[in-house]
Amino acid sequence: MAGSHLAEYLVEHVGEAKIFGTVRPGGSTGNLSRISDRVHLVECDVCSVSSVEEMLTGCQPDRIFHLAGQSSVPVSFRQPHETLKTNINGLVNLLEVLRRQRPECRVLVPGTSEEYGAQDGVLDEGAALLPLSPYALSKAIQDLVAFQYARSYKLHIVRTRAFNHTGPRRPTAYAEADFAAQIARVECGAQDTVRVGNLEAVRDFSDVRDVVRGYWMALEQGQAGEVYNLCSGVGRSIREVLEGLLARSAATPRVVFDPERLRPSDPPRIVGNGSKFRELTGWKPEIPFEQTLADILKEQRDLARARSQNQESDPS
Amino acid sequence: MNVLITGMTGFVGSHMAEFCLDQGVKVFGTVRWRSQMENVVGIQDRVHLVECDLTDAASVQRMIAQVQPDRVFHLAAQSFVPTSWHAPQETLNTNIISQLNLFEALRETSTRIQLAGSSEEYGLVLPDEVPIREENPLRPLSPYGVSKVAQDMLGYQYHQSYGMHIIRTRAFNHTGPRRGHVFVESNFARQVAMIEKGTQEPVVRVGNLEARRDYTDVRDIVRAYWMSLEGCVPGEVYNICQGNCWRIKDVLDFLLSCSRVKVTVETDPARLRPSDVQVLQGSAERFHAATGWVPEIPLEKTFEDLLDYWRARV
Repeated sequence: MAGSHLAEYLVEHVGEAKIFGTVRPGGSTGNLSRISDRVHLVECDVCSVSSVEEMLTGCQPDRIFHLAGQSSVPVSFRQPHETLKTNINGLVNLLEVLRRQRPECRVLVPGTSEEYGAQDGVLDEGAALLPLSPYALSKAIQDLVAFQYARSYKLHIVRTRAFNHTGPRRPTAYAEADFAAQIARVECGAQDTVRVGNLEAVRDFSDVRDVVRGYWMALEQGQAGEVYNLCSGVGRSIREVLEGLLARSAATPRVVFDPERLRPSDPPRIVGNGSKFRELTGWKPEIPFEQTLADILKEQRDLARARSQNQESDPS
Repeated sequence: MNVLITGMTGFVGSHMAEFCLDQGVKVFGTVRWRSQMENVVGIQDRVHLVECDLTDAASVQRMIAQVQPDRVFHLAAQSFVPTSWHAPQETLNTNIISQLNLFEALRETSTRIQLAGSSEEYGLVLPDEVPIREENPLRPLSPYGVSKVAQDMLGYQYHQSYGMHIIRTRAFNHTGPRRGHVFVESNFARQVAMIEKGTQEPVVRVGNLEARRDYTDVRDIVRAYWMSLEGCVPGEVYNICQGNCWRIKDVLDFLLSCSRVKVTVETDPARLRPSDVQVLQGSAERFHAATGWVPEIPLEKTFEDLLDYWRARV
């Protein structure tokens, strides 16, 4: 999701940039449909050193945004091995090759607020890292690897910790997109309930389009080795997100609690203090959360409509 | 009681095994098919060796089913900082994935697990942060340090997610007999022993002599590890250290004062690391409060024993 939005941002705002993007063999490129003629796709498996070497030789990048990774919390509980290996090995490979081949290249290593885990108060960058899921752990390790490579090899690596960000193209593995998809199916008459997990968790949401602008600014203006929170500073419960989506629909589905959706451990509240990055760059979220929710719901409605049309036209 | 020691053939593992045998428990240790056995020759017939590759999940599951441990001291690791510069991927994988396999195999049990973290996790320490407490930010400066933070956080996460009885410890430098000669104080002791034997010219080659390290005798450390599973709070983290520092130069001078040989000291640039931690001094207050542990072996005796260990071997 974030990768395609970043590519769109660069196409629209950084005219001189030649944009390369890695895709896995057989990977989907549907998210890039709007800009497919403006980006160069390079097949690369970031977990393979030789593949990373070949990719870097081909692209000769001046800036790298390392967004590839296994980024779902629930998947990480089911596949901790895969999550840790993919996320750690991918970054170490990239930095090992870069420090030899292109040490002047700038690298953004995007972390997440999940690294902070369960702590009281509004979190600034000095808060401890207490990850509560294998995904959060893998991102905290990336964060430390990035710090260590920046210090040890004087590489221009900037770390960010983006709090929850969402918007169009958000996969339904994430609560807000999943709720929107369920509401859209209710509107089509395909189901009559919305199934939910923990609605009490509080998160700090921004729009993904604001966050990718933050990524670009972080790499242009951020200090090498430093880390910056990207957040709105506003806490919203998952229940408020659900209610915000339901308020945009005429449907009145029953909300059903599904214990299968609970995680073995889940931070109750993660809200950030973004003043360090705001003071450096002036960045702040510009897209209101209501707009973000409306865009997510519209997308899921379009998808649901397309699905039901397919079914109608399917003779079987 | 069944006690499992991963990495038993290593330096700390072998001392841990000796301590556990003295407690009268049944001791199991993991070995790889090509493990060097010299550290455990004296106890080999009193412990149970189990072949296991900790990076292989199936191998770990079989081993745990066989041993059924009540206590685990997880000491196996790629633990040498300079190797971690050459092989960062391997260091991270070995140290993280081995522990993940162990946790996954033990998730449904009530086994108590001790994690041997390291003061290298603190890495970059600011002058006003000494002595280092457990809340200090972790700013590791080597791939080894990163891998130990990762193990530490993995221990926290598995305790939080599954309620496992995991005790995280961060031991500062520890040394004594059987310490590998790749580590600075053991390397110096070995060079002195070789010079005494006449197998090395009277020149001691050194790296950064100004670094300060908070040394404890390894025999005090393994006693602390044992106590950690008795008195510490699961999920919590504890520093284990003496609480005062030796300058590496003072370690060298002490070793030289134990010997009659006259030597010159030469700096070898190859021994300087890309980024080295200058001062590592800890506070073990939290651990002392939980267990009552205090170190008992004076460092002078530790360094003498280390020198005698090498004198018997070079």
